[in-house]
Formats: sequence, structure tokens, C-alpha cells
Amino acid sequence: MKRATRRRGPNHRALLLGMAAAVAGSALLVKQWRKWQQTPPVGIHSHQAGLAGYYQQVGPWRIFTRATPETRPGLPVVLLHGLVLSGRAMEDLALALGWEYRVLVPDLPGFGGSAFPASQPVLSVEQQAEALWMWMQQNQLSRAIFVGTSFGCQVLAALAVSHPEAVAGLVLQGPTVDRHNRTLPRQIWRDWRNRRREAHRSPAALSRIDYAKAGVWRIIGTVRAMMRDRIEQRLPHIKAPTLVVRGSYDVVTPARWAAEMVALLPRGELMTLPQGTHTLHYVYPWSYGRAIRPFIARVQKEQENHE
Amino acid sequence: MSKPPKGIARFDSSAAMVMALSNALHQRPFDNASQVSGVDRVLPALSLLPERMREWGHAMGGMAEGISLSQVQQLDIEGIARWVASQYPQQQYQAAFVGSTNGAMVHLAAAMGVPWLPQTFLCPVRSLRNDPDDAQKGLADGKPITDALLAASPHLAVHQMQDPNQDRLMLDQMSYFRLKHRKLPLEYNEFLLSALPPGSTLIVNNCTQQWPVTRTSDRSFYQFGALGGATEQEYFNGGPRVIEFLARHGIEQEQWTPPPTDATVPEAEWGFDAHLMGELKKLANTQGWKLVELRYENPEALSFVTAEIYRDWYLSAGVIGSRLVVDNFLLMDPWTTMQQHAIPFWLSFCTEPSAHALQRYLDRQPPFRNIDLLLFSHGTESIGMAPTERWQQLLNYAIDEGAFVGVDPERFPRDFNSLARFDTELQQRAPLLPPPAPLTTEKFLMGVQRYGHKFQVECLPH
Repeated sequence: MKRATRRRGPNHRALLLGMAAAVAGSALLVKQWRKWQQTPPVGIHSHQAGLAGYYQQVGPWRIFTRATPETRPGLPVVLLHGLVLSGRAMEDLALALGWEYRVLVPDLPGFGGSAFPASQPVLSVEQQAEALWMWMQQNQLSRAIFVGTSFGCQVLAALAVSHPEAVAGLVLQGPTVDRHNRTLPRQIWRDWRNRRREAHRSPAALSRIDYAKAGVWRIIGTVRAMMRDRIEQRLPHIKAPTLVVRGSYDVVTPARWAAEMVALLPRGELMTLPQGTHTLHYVYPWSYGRAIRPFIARVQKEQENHE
Repeated sequence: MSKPPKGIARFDSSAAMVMALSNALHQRPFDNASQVSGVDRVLPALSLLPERMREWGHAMGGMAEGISLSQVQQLDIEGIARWVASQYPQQQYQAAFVGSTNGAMVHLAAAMGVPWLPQTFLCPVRSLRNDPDDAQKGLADGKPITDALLAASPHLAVHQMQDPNQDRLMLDQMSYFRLKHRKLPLEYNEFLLSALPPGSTLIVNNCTQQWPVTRTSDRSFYQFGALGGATEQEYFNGGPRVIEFLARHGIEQEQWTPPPTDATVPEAEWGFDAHLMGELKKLANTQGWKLVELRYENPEALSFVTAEIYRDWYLSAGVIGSRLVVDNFLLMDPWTTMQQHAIPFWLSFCTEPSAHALQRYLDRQPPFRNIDLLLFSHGTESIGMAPTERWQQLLNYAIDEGAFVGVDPERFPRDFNSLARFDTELQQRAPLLPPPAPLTTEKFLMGVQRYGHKFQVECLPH
């Protein structure tokens, strides 16, 4: 009787199965990535609440802007998003402030609705500020009150220094990058801790969409630009009244760093929102909007008196 | 239905009424009063057990909600506030209630289709060697827990509560701490700002019921006894009913000896801590909301006004309210009540003073064709508990039929299955029709002004 001979050697079946799973996983990720890229730049609820959006050619860039429905007297309020994100996460804040002010929420070139191909160069903080200035020209805005968040504060600081006449007032919420901890691992660690604190209303789903729109290379390039930028060197040159806001649970912008920034600002003031986290504009937009409203009203009044 | 975070008891009036109202705003019946689906399946089996086993099962069910001292130290106040706010549909409302827990107010909010954010919630803490009748020990044992709760948030008032009369089954294994927000949690703030556009109305539900307490710090109090069947006098100085009650439970003493009281503060469960008022006024002022205060002393006073407002509300829709649903403590279903075009009358507990309130109401009203009575079983023949005969006497006011709904009169006050059964039975009592169009804030305010003075309910604009 013949014994069945078993083939010896490495078992390729597991390897093949693993490779097939990896290929299928990658295909699914690419499919999902493309789906994220095609997500409309204005959320359905905000759209129903009256938030409109439009594209404009600003210099070499096609920039997307969200705007509140009613025209209000006084200076417009411009909201500026953080690192790699877009104004999509600031829609509720825009609606909250929209009860009293005309609010505009542009996406910086390369991000969100203003995304462009990876072949285009990554813009530095100064170039982003210049793009914002050009966007203002295009929209016939000579002066505005700016509300920036996280990395957006760095762009706004650059704008306030290069075009002081355009900035009537500044709100810098959770400004980056803490100069005492300007290393990538520490920033990633702090961001991770902050996300845990915001797990109940996580902006992660929106972030994924914005990451897909920006693309991997632009993310890496912009992170490098953010880490190289020294906001503390610009702050002493900002003439506009500036409100620095931080949530008391914000680990990305520690209290010491916020206080240091206010000390550097010629017209700086500090506000701490109890129990607030880093992504205040998304997690607690209504409370945040209410907290900064008196400052915005004061700047509006200053402007009226100035006129 | 999301599971609430640790530290808020689902079996309590506050959390249960939030759920009852949330279900009404979602246009659903409140058919899961225990709020744990598994418990609803176990309760019928529990009701077949002998009396002592039923009591034990009831106490164990409550204990599962209790937290330990280490969990108290990590109490997530914002998480609890978030859970409350997330129960309501995310939309804009004509008004919102904030403040005291009250079943009649829940019916008003349901008719208006608006949310309510409670100021108070119950945090039960596991404590296995409790003696419900030893107030001095209760105060001493509660000290570390009170300190931990005070440290958990600087904006909370802590009311330790020990009621050996009505809560004695639960107090064997747990200590009760009712926590009152003296400042709006960020989550409440966020919810109100997003839900109320300018011009809306913020209604402060202010129950001014007070109770003598022993002050243990500027934000913490020890309350012995509670509103219900026994009087303040009986809790503090004893009396024939107390002697009989203690003897029945085999306690060798003639009265309780609570620590001396040195202050009178808002009652732990129903009272409103006015520290919140200033912030609410400021908020309403900056947001362009109208602020209205609904002020009354006895929690059941509002039931009279609510019943009258409901009658008018139905009448304006061409419906004559000839059916009465009498709620008890947390047994209520605003959505089903509205669908049956029934008038709600909420009673705070199954006691004689509550039965008397119902009798006063029935004496003044044209007779109802049907009266459906819900009765909460708290597991003990407490002082002042109204027996089933008394309730039956009140049910006899009905022209067609007065019935106990979801409660077995033979087993009361140990019919714990009523928690799982009351809503199904209530839904079967009458056809379910579409309720009238939501009650407007103006009609609500007119109703309170019209009927309030008769029942000592004030409506104060700010």
C-alpha cells in the first residue's frame, strides 16, 4: 500500500491569503479615500440652516468660502480653520455668530473645498497669509475681525503683521505651536490626549474627509511649515486688539504658553473657557461663540468710533 | 437609548423623567421605565418569588446602579450633563425648562414639545454596612463621600439624604446623594444656546420646598427624612406612627435620633437651589430670551395647574377631556397620555397626602368617565402610605371605570413588576389618537396666570 506523500516546505497559502487581504484592504481604503474627497464642502444641516458656499478664483488658487445668509451691518467676521482641516468644522460657530454678524469661512488654498492637486507646491505660513489677503481683495473686504483656531492662528498672526490695516481684531483660539515643546512627537502626543478628551463629540470623521482632500504630501509639508513657523516672533508686532482663548482642558495649548503669548501681544487679553478642549469651535461652538461675542462687539464699536 | 454614565441613578425621579420626556419628544411611549431591557424580562419572574426574595431582588437591582468611593472621586459631571442633553432631539425649540424635577412639569414640556434640563440628579453610592435607622452613623459614614463629591466639582451642592421611612429597602446597601448644579454645566450651556433662538422662552422650574438639614459645609447638607407620608415632626420628634413603624421592623427604639438641624435649605429631591438663577438670568439677557420663573412650594401644586391647562388645550382642539391618568412618582408616559387625550394628574408618591391631593382635585372637577391609576411600589409599608382601599375609593369617582393600571393591588407595595408592565397596560386602556398641535408658550403662560393663583403657583417674568 502506497502512503500519501505530503509536500514539505513553506506553506504559501497563508502568505497568499495575507497578500489578498492586504490588496482588498488597500482597494477599500482607496475607494473610501475617493469618497471622502468627493464629500460636499458644506454639511447638510448647515446648508439647511442657510449657510451658503461659493468658489472664487483668487490668483492661482480656486478658493471655497462659506457665508451666512443674512447681510449684517458692521465688520464681517472671518473664521479660519486649523491644520489640514477646513471650515467645515466651523459651520456651527459660523451659524452661532451669524445671528449678529456677517460671517465668512474660507478654506485655505490646498485644503477642504480649496484643495488642489498634489503636484502644486505646499504653501508656507506667509504664503497662506498672502493668499488670505488676496481673498479679502477679491471679496471687497478692506478690514475684518478674524477668528482663528490652532494653526489658523499662525496664518492670522502673519496676516496681521504683513497687512495690519486689514485686521480690526483677532481671536486666537488654541494657538500653536507651544515654543517650549516644538517637537513633532510631543505635538502628536498632545493631540492624541486632546482627542481622548473630545471623544464624546469627536471631529475625527470630518478630519478624515479633510485629510483625504488635502492629500498625504500636503499634510506632511504643512506640518513641517507649521513647526518651522515662530508665532512668538510675530506677536509683538500685531497692532490689533487680540483675544487669546483656551479651554481649561486644552493640552495642545497649555496655560503657560497662552499667558506667554498674551504678554508678548501689545493689545492682548486672555480668556479661559472652563472645561473647554482644543477643538472648542467644533465641540462647544455655541458656548465659545457666546464667550467671544463681547470682544467682537467691542472691536465693532471701536471701528464705528474710528470711522 | 444610550447608557448613562456612572454616577446617575436611572431608578430616580430625575433621570426617569428625563427619559419619559425624551421619549415624548421623539414621539415614542415610555415603555422602558427601568431603562434596562434585561431587567424588564426579569421583573415578571421576580414578582413570583416570596415577599422577602422580591424585596432582596429590588434592593439588588438598585445596588447595581450604585458606585464606589473611588468612582465618586472620578465622577464625570459633564458626561452626565451630556447624557441628559443628548436624550432630546437636536433641533430648535420655542422654549426650554430648567430646574426642579416635577412630573406635572414634564407633562407641560411634553405638550409644548420642549426639553427640560434637571438641576438635580441622584448619585447612589454603595455602602454595604448601612443602618437606615441610625442617622448619626449615616452622617459619619457619608463624610468621605461628601468630601469626594465636593472635590469632584466646585459648582455642585451635595445633599446627603437618609429617609428610613420610604427608602429603607435601598438604604440597606446604598447611601443617597442628590447633587444640584449651582452653575450650568458646559454641556447644558451648549445645548441651550444651540436649541433656543433669540426670542424663545427659558422657563425656570422653581419648587421652593424646603427641609431642615444639618449643614456639613457651605455646599453640603445632611437631610434626614423626606417629603412623603411622614411629617417633619415625626422624623425629628417621633410619634405613635413612628413607634408602630419601628416596632414592626424590629427596631428597639421609639423614635429616630437625627443630628440637630441648623439650616433650612431646598429639599434634596424636588427643591430648586437658587444659586443657578443668576447665571440663567445673565444667559437669557445676553441671548435675547424671555425668562419666566414658575414658582410653587408643594410639588403637587403644579399638577392642578397642569391638569387645567391640558383640559383647555384639548378643548381648543375640539376634544373634551373625560379621561384622567393619575401618575405616580416616576410612573408616567406623557406621549401615551397625550395620544389618549387624557388629562394627567401627577402625584409625587403613593402616600396619603398625595391621595388627599387627588381627592381635592376630583372633588372640584366634573366627574371623569375613566380614571387610570398608576402606583409606584417602593417595597415597604411606610408611614403614611395610602393602602389600596384608599386608592380604590378614589377610583370610584369615575363614572364608567376607575382602574389600577399595571399594578396588582394584592402585591402593592411590592409589585416591582409594575415598572415593566405599566406602560403596556396603559396603552391598552384607550385608543391612541394623534395628539393636538403642540401647546404654544403663550397659551402655557396664559394658563399658568389663569389657574396658578388658585393653587399657589406663580408665574414671574424676569
